[in-house]
Amino acid sequence: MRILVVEDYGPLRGPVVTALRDEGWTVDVAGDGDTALQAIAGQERDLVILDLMIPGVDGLNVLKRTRATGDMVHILVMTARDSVEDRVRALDAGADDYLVKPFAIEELIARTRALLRRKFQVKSPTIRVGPLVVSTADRVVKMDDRVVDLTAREYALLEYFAHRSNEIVTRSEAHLSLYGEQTQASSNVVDVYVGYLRKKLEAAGEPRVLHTRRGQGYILTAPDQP
Amino acid sequence: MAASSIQRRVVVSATVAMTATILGSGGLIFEAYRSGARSDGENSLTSIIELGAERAVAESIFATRAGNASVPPERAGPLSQYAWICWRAGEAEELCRSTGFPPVKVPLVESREAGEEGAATGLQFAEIVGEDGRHYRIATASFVPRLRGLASLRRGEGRASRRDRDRRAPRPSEPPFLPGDQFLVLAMAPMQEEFERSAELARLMLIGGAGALLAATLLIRSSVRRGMAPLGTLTRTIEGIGEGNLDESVHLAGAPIELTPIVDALERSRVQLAQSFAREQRFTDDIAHELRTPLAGLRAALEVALRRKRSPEELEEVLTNNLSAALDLQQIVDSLLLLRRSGAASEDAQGVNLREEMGRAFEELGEALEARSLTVAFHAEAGAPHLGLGAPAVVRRITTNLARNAVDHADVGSTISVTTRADSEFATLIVENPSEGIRQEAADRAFEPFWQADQARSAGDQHVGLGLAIVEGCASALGGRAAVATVDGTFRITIELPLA
Repeated sequence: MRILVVEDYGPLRGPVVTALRDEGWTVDVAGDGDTALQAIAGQERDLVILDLMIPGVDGLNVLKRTRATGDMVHILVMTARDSVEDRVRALDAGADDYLVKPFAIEELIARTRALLRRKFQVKSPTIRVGPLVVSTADRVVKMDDRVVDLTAREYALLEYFAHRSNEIVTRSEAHLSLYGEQTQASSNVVDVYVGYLRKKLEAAGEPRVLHTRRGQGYILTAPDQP
Repeated sequence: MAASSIQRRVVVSATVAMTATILGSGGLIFEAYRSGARSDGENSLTSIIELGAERAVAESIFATRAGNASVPPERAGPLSQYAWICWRAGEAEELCRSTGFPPVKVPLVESREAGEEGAATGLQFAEIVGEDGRHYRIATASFVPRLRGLASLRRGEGRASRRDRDRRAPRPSEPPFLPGDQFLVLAMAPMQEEFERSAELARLMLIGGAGALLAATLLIRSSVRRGMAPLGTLTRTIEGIGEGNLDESVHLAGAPIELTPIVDALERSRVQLAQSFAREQRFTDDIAHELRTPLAGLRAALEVALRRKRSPEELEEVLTNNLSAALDLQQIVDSLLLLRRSGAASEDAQGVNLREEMGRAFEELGEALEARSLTVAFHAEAGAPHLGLGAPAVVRRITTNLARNAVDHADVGSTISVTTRADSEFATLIVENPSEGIRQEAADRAFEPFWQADQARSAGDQHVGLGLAIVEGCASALGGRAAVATVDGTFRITIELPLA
């Protein structure tokens, strides 16, 4: 999952980014409106968390311009302004959700998860693919009734595949969702993590759910419809 | 008077005025009536004397000769309804009087110049009080009988002699009067009826006056009450005005024009109150918003830290983060307190060199100046150092905030211009900085707390939009003023501080 956090105030941006990364999501940051617009236009994101009071182009205009280009990215507005008019203005400008500062970090994460589900048109926080059950709320992964222990990174990758289950995910998409635009990670890291995931998911002899489509990428789908 | 009532005052003074008017005009009317009545009485006495004097004189002479002291009414002719007395001029003893003359001491009637024969002349009038306590009007006149009257007298004498021949004294030989003999006649009429009429008039006038007074008082009361009634409505309107209800305008339908200034003044106060409440409201909202971001940072950092085990390095990062947020909170609170305190004028007023203070303020911001490639140009008009009278600490708040504002908002690489000058009254400080795309709105709202031209915190600096509000607060605390203008992409702040 790739999330862009647009917030100029360091002491708030830091903890938010940490919390999102702890969830295994990939987080990029922007400190002003212009950088935010460039970042949104440059890469496909799964979610933008946007503060309204930012230098340069203000948050509301970032919203409007983004929507004017037809960008469908989900945007969660995060602001100190809490009046009804402020909320209505932001939602009418194209925001998908609204969070007033100060907020509980759990709420920010829950809203983020909800928006990510919506992005992938998944209603339930629990995603089932054949014997695989990914419970996104408490980050528990099961194969039938067996709990599968995953590292944060492994989980993040699996969750991304789960959200896009039954469709082909290219290697570069998976890579972006793991690392964003950080280029230090080697290009075969996705293959390595897919290897780890298969090993853990099939440890008790379960059928394969994470398949390779040669030349295209990977697909998470039920074992009887490869 | 502890609490005076307009209604009572109006009613009392109107009643007094009405009473005076009624008494005054009533007195005049009464006097006019009295004098009319007197002249009526005198006129009737005059005509009765003129008509009856001759007969009275003749009957008097006849009665005297017959040895009678009085003439009964049936013989008195025109004077039959009146009491009368007849004298021969020059004699003290009366000749005769009417029968039943009331007990009245008649004043001495003096002779007067004789007139034509047959005419009553020298009429005089008087009012006297009789021994019975009654008032009488008397008229006196001199009268010279006509010779022709002699014949009638003789005829009368003849008639009398035929009737009372035996009782009568023998007829004296001398004639009853000679041509030119003068007689004095007094006729008297009681004034009782006249008095009764006057009393009746007075009673009617009193009743009428009292009635008019009462009616007028009631009318005035009710019209004053009706005139004051809008005050009640006004009171309710004003009572309805409160902190939450300042939007309803104060107006009074049908208010008398005397109340219009009050209503207008109240409406002006309401508008001012509403504006000031709105400003306060906005200020409080703004504070809340400004405090929220650092608070959000504090909370988020702590919650994130507590979600799982963190390494000492991570925890140190959290502490650093929160210290920074706490410092920001302190900065906001300090600015707010400063803004509030700058409302109170300082006592240790003394001369301050504005040019030097500005120089010092920019020196402190040297790094920021360098980072944004800004230069500062000072323009001091010729003359002695420009002293603005004021507390140095307050002036320093002005200069540091002005310098910070200019450094934060000047276009990169531009020149900030500082001008100082003084005239006899004010020391003036002008700070100008080029600021591309600055809008007129910036000038209109610059002094509002928390307002910032870009509607956002400038990256990396601490201020939160209170700077210019503090500048204005400090300037007015020193008895000066601050003004902002935007001209051709230049933002200009002018501060004027009184010299004395």
